[in-house]
Amino acid sequence: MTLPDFDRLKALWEDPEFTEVAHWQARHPGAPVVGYLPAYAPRELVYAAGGLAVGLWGAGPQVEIIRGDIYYQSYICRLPRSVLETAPALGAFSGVIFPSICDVMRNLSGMWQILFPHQWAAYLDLPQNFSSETGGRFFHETLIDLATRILGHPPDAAYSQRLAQAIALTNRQTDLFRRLAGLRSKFPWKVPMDEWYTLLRSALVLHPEAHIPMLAAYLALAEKRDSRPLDHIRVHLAGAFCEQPTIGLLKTIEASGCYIVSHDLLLGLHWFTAPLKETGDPFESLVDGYLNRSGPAPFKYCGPREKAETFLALVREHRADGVIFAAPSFCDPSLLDRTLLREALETHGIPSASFKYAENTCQYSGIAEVAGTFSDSIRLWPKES
Amino acid sequence: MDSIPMKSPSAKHFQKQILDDYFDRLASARDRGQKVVYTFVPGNLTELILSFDLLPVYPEVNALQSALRGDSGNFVKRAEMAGHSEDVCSYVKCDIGMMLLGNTGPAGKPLPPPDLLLLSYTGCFTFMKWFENLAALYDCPIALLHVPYQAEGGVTPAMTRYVVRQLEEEIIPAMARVSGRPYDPEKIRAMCALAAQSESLFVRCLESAQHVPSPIDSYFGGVFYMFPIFTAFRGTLEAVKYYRLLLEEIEKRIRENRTAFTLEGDLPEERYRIVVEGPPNWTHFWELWKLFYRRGAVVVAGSYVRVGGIYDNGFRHDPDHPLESFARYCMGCYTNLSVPARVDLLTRFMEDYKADGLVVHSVKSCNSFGAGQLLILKEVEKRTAKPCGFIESDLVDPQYFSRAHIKNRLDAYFQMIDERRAYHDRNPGH
Ligand code: SF4
Ligand code: SF4
Repeated sequence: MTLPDFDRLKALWEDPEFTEVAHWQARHPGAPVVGYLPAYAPRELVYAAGGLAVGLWGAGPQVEIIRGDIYYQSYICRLPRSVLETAPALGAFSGVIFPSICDVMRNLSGMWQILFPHQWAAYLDLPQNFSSETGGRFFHETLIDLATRILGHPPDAAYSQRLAQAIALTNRQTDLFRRLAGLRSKFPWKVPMDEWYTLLRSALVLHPEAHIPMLAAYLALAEKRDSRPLDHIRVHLAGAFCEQPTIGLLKTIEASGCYIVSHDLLLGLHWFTAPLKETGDPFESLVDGYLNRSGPAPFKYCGPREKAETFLALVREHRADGVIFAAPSFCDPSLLDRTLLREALETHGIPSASFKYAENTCQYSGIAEVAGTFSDSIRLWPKES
Repeated sequence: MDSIPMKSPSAKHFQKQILDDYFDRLASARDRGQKVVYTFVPGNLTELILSFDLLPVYPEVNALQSALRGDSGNFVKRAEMAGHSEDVCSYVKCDIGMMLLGNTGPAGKPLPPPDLLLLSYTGCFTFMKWFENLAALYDCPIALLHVPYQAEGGVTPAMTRYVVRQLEEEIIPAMARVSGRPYDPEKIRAMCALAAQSESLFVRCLESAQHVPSPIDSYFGGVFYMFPIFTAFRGTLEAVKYYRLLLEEIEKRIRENRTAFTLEGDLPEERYRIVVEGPPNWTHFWELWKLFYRRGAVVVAGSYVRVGGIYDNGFRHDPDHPLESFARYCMGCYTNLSVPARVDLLTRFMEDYKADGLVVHSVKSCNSFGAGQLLILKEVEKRTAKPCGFIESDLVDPQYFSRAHIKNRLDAYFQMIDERRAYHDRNPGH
């Protein structure tokens, strides 16, 4: 068993031309390719249609934004700009899913309808009512509509069967994510951040069937790795669920003395706290997953007490010494969550640090300073017991 | 609101009277044992709230009124000191800052804390985060109404069912618990009938701007006209009376062929008829208005006066199906429309209101309006072949208003309209 070729994997998701997706399409003529934006989409619906779901999480710093800036004022985050910039490469996609996480995403769904009329643009209204009879029923109907879009006709019994299989497939993938995250949380030095992130992010572009064996092989190797821990503090990284920081930025945090032992980067891929049901109506399983098995998120309504408690539990579960809040600039959901969560931490004497970034932030000295000072303050001046 | 100069003051005075009375009732609510609901303007459930004898408070209205009074800068700063980012919506910060500084309302009277936070978040996700933050500051129950987005340009039966179920299962029981009263269908029926009357009158007031010259300014004047219908009065006799008075005054202006009023009397000459997309700037509201009317520009239609709900397409609260009509009302607010639907609406306004062009006012705070505005501008320009202009500032954070910058942009814009006209005069038929 060898380690995955991380350079190749990184090149896959950094590629603004989506060459790997084009290759997949050439191998699967007629199969639907569907894009989905952050932070969560039921990609099983696409796999069940024999298709490929491609996560569009922004193009990073390597793409120069020209077209995107024509459509956005300076005080709007960078993600929708870079998605629009790379949109011409998505010409062969059948459609794109826009989950309801914020107003920018919501309005982008309508902009897409105007700019790319040859593609469907589906807004995925994630219910904020979590009763199965009300929010659940609405979400069920939404999923049937979405499946109809993907298939081009209403889903039938055969599709439902394939959907159950797709759920089993993503369950295997997310189980591996969970195990890897668990390993990283316990022994962060065995799973370097750049490797973990690259593996996670390549799931946006690769079909789970191609991704799972690689994950499994990596997990087996990482478990046996004989590397040494550094004198780092353990931090939870919060707020980066949508627009992504660069790997360089994540490495800077770690190099400055902070092991990122848990995070909400690429949230939708590892959002469920338990596997989805593999028996019964598969649409209901997706509904139940969203209503009852999804973790916290800034775009999901939560009363303040529960929000604080869930967050504190997460921090404790990972034995984090503190929290680093990393929010995309101009991101209301992330930034407004931050105030609440920071207060919860303060009440419990858990230290935190914060910064803002954009997906093209490549100057890391300020961030190194924040993370370094944070690490020092915890390592050198531990809390009085 | 005092400074609105109307020659015939009865509608204005009546509005002042009912607003003063409302703020008095708010200030004394605690003492009188009346319960208070904090909620939002877009898609508000005023009839329901009032039917339970609860009093609504609208944090956005407090924020904008604080800005008109010059207080918002301090409130925003206070919220930033408490840890809120400079990047987020200034309405939220103004409201939280005001609360942290003692919660004295815009009328200079203390606002009672909420007995219920009614989060009906229509057309904006920031509302949800706003109320999560408020919920952490106040110890009171919260009721949430999730209103689906009109992404495909319409309302499906599933969407309506979803909202109605939430009203039945969450919202109405929460109001009943807080107020200690049962739901009263007869009262709601009567209030919906009154709401529908106000809505028809309001539409007639807005549509008066189709007349040339326009008897009203539908943006700088319009934001004051919309107060009663989008705040505490829709569904009441007071609102019907206010809109009757207003319509009478407007019709009189039309009969007298008078132009829209300005801060300095009637507009001497109506030179430009403009449609405006986006909310106003509240910290420099009067200054911004002057930049329009001193060039002879009147705003004949706009999206902002539809932010609380759209009645132009025939929607009215329905006494026979109140809950369904609440659902359709909530889903129909301007910012709950898809970008293509916004383009359609603005294009229609350009035609129906015989406008010379569209001005987009983009505010730093608001992604709900702002994300997509530049595409809206291009699309409306393409469809109408009329010039479209763009200005930027903020809602209630004074530091983002640059008079010189906006003036330059508007001067260039009006010049563009003049050039277009001159071209058409030289080349008739083009
Ligand atoms: S970064 Fe924040 S504001 Fe931007 S699209 Fe993502 S969630 Fe929305
Ligand atoms: S983002 Fe816009 S719509 Fe939402 S609360 Fe702020 S100003 Fe209002």
